[in-house]
Formats: sequence, C-alpha cells, structure tokens
Amino acid sequence: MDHLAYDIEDFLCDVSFQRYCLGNDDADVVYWSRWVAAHPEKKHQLEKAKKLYFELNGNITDRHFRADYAAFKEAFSKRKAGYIVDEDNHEPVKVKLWPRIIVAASIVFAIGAGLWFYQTAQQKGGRATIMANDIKPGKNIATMTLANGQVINLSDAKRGVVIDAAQLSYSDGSSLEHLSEGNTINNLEKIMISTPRGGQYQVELPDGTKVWLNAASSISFPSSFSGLDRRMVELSGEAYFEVTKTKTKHIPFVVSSNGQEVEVLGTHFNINAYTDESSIKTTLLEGLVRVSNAAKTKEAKTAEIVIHPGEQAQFARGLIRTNQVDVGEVMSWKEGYFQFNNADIKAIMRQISRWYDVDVRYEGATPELAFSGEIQRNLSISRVLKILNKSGVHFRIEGKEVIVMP
Amino acid sequence: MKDGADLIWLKFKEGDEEAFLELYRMHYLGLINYGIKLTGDREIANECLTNMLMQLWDSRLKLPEVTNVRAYLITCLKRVAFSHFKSVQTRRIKEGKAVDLMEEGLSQADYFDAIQNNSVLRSALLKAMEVLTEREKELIKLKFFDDLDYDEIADKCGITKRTAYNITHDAIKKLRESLKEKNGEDYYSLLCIVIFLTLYLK
Repeated sequence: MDHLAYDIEDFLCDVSFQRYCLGNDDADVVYWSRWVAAHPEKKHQLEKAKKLYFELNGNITDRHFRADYAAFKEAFSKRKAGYIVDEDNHEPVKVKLWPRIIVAASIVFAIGAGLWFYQTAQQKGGRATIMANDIKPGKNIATMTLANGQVINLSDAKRGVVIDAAQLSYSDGSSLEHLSEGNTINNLEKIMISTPRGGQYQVELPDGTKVWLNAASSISFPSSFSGLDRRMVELSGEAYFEVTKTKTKHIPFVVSSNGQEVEVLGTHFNINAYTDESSIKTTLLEGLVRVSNAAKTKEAKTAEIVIHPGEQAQFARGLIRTNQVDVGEVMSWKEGYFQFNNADIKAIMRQISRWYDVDVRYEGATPELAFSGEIQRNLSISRVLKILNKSGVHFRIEGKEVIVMP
Repeated sequence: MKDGADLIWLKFKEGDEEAFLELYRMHYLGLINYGIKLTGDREIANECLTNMLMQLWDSRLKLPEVTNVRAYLITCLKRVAFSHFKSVQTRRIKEGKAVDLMEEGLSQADYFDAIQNNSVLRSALLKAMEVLTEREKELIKLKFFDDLDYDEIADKCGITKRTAYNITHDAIKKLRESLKEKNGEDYYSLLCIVIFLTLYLK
C-alpha cells in the first residue's frame, strides 16, 4: 500500500508501524525513520499516530522497551557466563574465549567485591552490609496545607489529588477523608501541595490543569480561579504542567518561581526551579510560553522571551537564554526514569539525593564523569549506584548518607 | 497459522542466541501487559518475564517443539508469576483475583483499567471508547494490548484476517472522530497560538 495516502488509522493498523513505535524490530524502525525523513510533511501525523498507539497499548512506550530489553540482554549475558551446558545432550561444545574471560573477570570481581565488603564491614563494626543499608526509591506522597494551617497527608496509595472549587478528591474519584467534618475550603483560600524528598504527586487544579510534582517540590494556588484575570500559581522545585485552555475568555496561566514568571494560555511544559541548580529551566513540549523576569523594571523588560516546543529557557540572575534540548531527557522523571546525557557526577547526585531522600558527601577528589544513559527510578538505590559504579565511581551508603569516592 | 513447530522457536532450542532475543522482542508487549495485569506491578512483571525466559534458556534442550509460541510463553509466565506470589506473598494482589486471572486470562475490563490507571488524562480516551461496539472494543484490545497479529485475531474471533483488519481500522477511525469532537484538537491549538501571538505583539 502507498504509505503517502495513509491516514492516522492506517498507520495505527499497520503491524510494521506498530513495531516501529515500540522499537522492537530494527528493520521497521529503520524503514519508518527513513520514510518520515523523506516525507517531513507526514511527520505530524506520524507523531499523532504514535502517541495514540501508546495510549492504546497500555502505555508501554519505546522507552520502556529499550530499558527492559537492555536489562534483559545484560541478565542473559550474565546467565550464559555462569551456566554450564547439560553434557548428555550431544551438543558440540564450542570453545569460546569470551565466556571464559567473563568468568575470570567475575571471579576477580567477586574477590575484589568480597575484600571491599569485608573492609567496609570492618570499618563499621563488622555488621553492616550494603543490602542492610539499601534505600527504597521515592513514592507517591505529598502533604496539603490549607490557609488555616491544617496539614493533610495525601494517601500514598493514590497517584494524585483533584481540587475542584469546594470539593477535594483523589484522582480516582475517592474522597479525602480529612475534610468531611465541616472543614470546607473557602473560596480563594490559598492551598499548598508539597512533596518531600523521595515523593512525587499529581495535582489537578480547579481549572482542570494537571500538574505532576517531582520530589522536594511545592505548588501553591487559590482554591478557585473564577473571577480572576490571571491564573497565578507559585512553584518551587520541579513540575510538569498540562495547562487547560479557558473556555470563554482567554485567561493566562502564570507560574512564578524564584523571580521568574512563565505565562501561557494552554500548553505542556516543565519547570525545574530547584534552588540547588544553577538556573531555572523551563522546557516547552507543546504550544508557546513567555518567560520573563518577575521584577518588571526597565532593564528586566529585555529579559523576556518566547520559547517554542523543544526549546528550553534558562533563567539566572534576571537573564534568560534559550537552547534546543532533548525533551526526553527533561521529561524522563515524569516517565519514571533518570536520563542523563553527558551528566557530571554532581548533577546526577543532586537528582539521586532528591529522589532517595539521601544526603551526598564527597570523599577525596570529586570523580570526573560524563555519564550518559537511562536508569529506572523504581530501582532501589544500591542498584542505581551499581550502574554508576560501572563508570568508575565508587559509593558507600552510611545511614541516610551516600559517600562518593573516586 | 502455519503448521508445524515455529522456526524461531526451533532455532532457539538449538541454542541460537539471536533467535532467543528475537523471541523476547516479538513477544515483549503481549507478555509485559499480561504480567502487569497478573501482578499489578510493572517491575515485578518485568522481573517475572526475565526469570521465565532465563528458565526457558536453561532448559531449552528439553522443551517441546511448540507451534503456538505466544500461548506457550503466556502459560509459562503465568506459572512464574504464580510462584512469585507464593514465594513473596505479595500483598499487591488479592489471592482471589490472582486465581481468576489464572483461570480466565484478561478481560476487557482489565484493559480499560490499564488504560485508566496510567494517567488521569486517559479518561478522555475511555470516554471516546464508549462510541465503539463491544466487538470493536474487543478487537482493539486484542490488537494493541494483547499484541496479537491479525491472523491470531482472526483465529480467535472466527473471522477472516481481512475482516479483523477492517473492524480494527474502522474502530480506530471512530475513536479518533469521537476524541476530536471532545477536544477539537487541531483547531483549538491553532486558535490558541494565533491569540497568543496577537496578545504578545500588542
């Protein structure tokens, strides 16, 4: 069939296209990548079809597949190295050199690791092991603070909370128990939702805007936006926004964080405003946003910029510059991954510290590292550190502290 | 479907590593979705899938010559997931439900749960799905969630391959129209950009 005449449903029903989306067949991936490069006018349609495909397949994306497949291949090569073939099946025994090298390397590693564990255990009075010190990844937890100071712990069994005028509920429709005793929320009362280190949460604002809060972040907003000419929210930390367009009049949605203001009408974007990062980074996925200095002085007027999808504005000391960025890397946290692209150890450890709720200390020289790769956020900390360890950095866990060593 | 044992399966039995990886790639989606519904957890499902295939690799010489690889793998995954429940006594899933799944496989309701659970946004998709007939919903689930090919769907539903394709195709078309009515997507985002630019240029 002529693919140029394809509509979205034609793409979706094409098995080869499905494999291209999931990335589980190299030939299909090459074919469709080349095809779309040759027909850029169909790119938009293809992207839409791909998006719908992932929604229909239960949200298993190419990213999931790549990570799972890589882990599987690694598990497999380990298995092969350690497995002795059943001899009474008349299989010709091929003598390969590399499995032996792996076995030899494993033994050396095992002895090395043994010595290392032994030494560490010695240092700590002979009882501690790395497993005993393992730390679980973050989960869905957050607190909600009302204007009267009441603090409500949001259930870790739910993914998100919906704030709709006078009513509060979890995103699956079940209600929040704590408010039933006549403790209603007044109109325009300020609400704050915060995640601790090691927490994340979804919030649906009164206007239907969806917010994904990363760890150690908080957002404040009024309990209703009705009658306001700007939908103002305040953010600290990191969040991804899917802003709803207002129906009748176009009321701008404004996110202020640490001196920066981002103004939008209805778009998808991510703001990283952690105070321990060097700049506030606003990354746009869809639509248009305007980034500006909140201090509306004359000089600050120049510090105002419109960014387009795929661009990132970096705001530092009142100045803004833009870059093209890898949106996948920026959004990886929301999809359940750490994704690094030539990241140095400090940038990596800042993310680990927030997600695993640990403090980080450097012992000796700070290791030089330019790490690239994806790591799942649902792994325990020891597994993540093990992966980083392969790049030549060493770690030790002591209580809630991770010590980084060259 | 073709007669006789599956060729890739035979190669895998002979110890062909590339064929083994091919099995993983081909059946990944159907198996991981099945595993997630069985265990209620992506990571556990992935662990079960890896363990299951590793066990198959170790015992490949003793395995039967399978015709329907997919069905065979699903059965193996069920077994591994079940023993996982027993050993870990995971509390994520109620015993009763696990047993139901063992007996009957996945229902359509499970599919909708899976779509719904993934994001609050997906409720738009679920609403849009209401316009589909039961048959259409079933085929969408078989095609995209279970990741069956059209031959398998045809077999399962007692229709021809062509019909299987056509029903799926029409269902997607209806689904998109229904989604569009709800969002007015293209028109709206264009309007939004225009309005934004006007405001901005002022």
